[in-house]
Amino acid sequence: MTSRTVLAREAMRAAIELRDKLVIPKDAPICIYDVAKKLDIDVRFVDGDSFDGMYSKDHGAILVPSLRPYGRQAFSCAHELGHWRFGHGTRLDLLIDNSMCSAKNDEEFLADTFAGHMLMPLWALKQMFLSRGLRADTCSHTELYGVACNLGVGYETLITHLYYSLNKLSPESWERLQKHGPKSIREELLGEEAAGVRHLALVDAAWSTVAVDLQVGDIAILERGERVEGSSIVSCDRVSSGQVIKAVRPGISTVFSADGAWSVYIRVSRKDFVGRSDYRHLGDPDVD
Amino acid sequence: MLKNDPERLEIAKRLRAAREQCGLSQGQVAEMMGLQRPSISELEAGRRGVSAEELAKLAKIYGVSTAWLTKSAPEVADPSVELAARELIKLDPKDLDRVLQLLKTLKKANGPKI
Repeated sequence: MTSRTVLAREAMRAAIELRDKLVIPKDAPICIYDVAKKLDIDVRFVDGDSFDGMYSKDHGAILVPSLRPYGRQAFSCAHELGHWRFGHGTRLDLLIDNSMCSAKNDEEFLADTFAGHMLMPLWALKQMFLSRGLRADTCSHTELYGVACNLGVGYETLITHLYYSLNKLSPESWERLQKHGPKSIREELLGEEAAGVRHLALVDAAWSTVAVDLQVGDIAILERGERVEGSSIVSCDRVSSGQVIKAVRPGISTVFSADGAWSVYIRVSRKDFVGRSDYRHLGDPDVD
Repeated sequence: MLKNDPERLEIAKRLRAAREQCGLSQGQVAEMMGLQRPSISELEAGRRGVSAEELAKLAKIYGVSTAWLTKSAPEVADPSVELAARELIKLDPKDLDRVLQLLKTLKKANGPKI
């Protein structure tokens, strides 16, 4: 067994154990910021985009750049949580020395693999596909995009995890799905309305467990979103895949199906929010 | 403490910086503290003194150390700041400075919860 295989197993085991300790079902998607909060880890969104994320062991804090795409931010936070879990931490003065970087490779691999299994464990993926009547190898790019949204990860991140970590995609499927990206999917689903939209959440009827997190200006398409309660979102037109809603102000709203049998929370933060993750969805009396 | 006491003004400046750093408006902080919004702007302008109890509460809301708020923490760079950073080579000096400024204000961790 190669050392990387051993590390990958260690990372997977650590992710499973952490989920168990936090009583998170193995097949449930998670909000990684809520997980960090349960662990008393202070997650801060920081103005900037020249880094992926940082973990400060002394402060028990994870820093996530505010200008990165939503899925990338979640993965970075999970990666930093991996550093926390494995007790990593390199003093800043040493890190500035580039000669340290090669020595960090195994730690980075461990943290990356941990993040993959924390956000996209096999059981959760099985449940995601099963509840939608899909198979990873045969589903369409938009169907896979919906699964990525429910897991809170990027489309490319999910494909990479399915192909490299879980071996659930054939090379042909990998190639087929790789031809699409978040931008082209937004354009396909929203048409001209996609212009200027940075994030689109595709919320189908099988969406489960977690809230839909948006920033002001983001769009969601809800397969069963007929009734809106709350002022942080507004209903727009319908498209073939469902009701379009737009995030307009920070706060938490709820969307219900017409028969009331299905509902989901929509949590909206300021655009490019900078601050503590706990506060990102707070309504603001200075704006209301 | 006098109204224009430099110490009070420095605390006021730090209270504002800590609030902005954690992404809260004055109105949101006022709600959390059970105060009127003008009380927070008065505090941050140095026109109103802050009690020890309020200071502790604000430090908790902002996730910063009271020592930093009251300027009793040393200003020198903390060599014990430990970071795990990917792509640090790509970190531009402005972001690095921003991150270091933030870390200086944060309270130290109590150790892992699990």
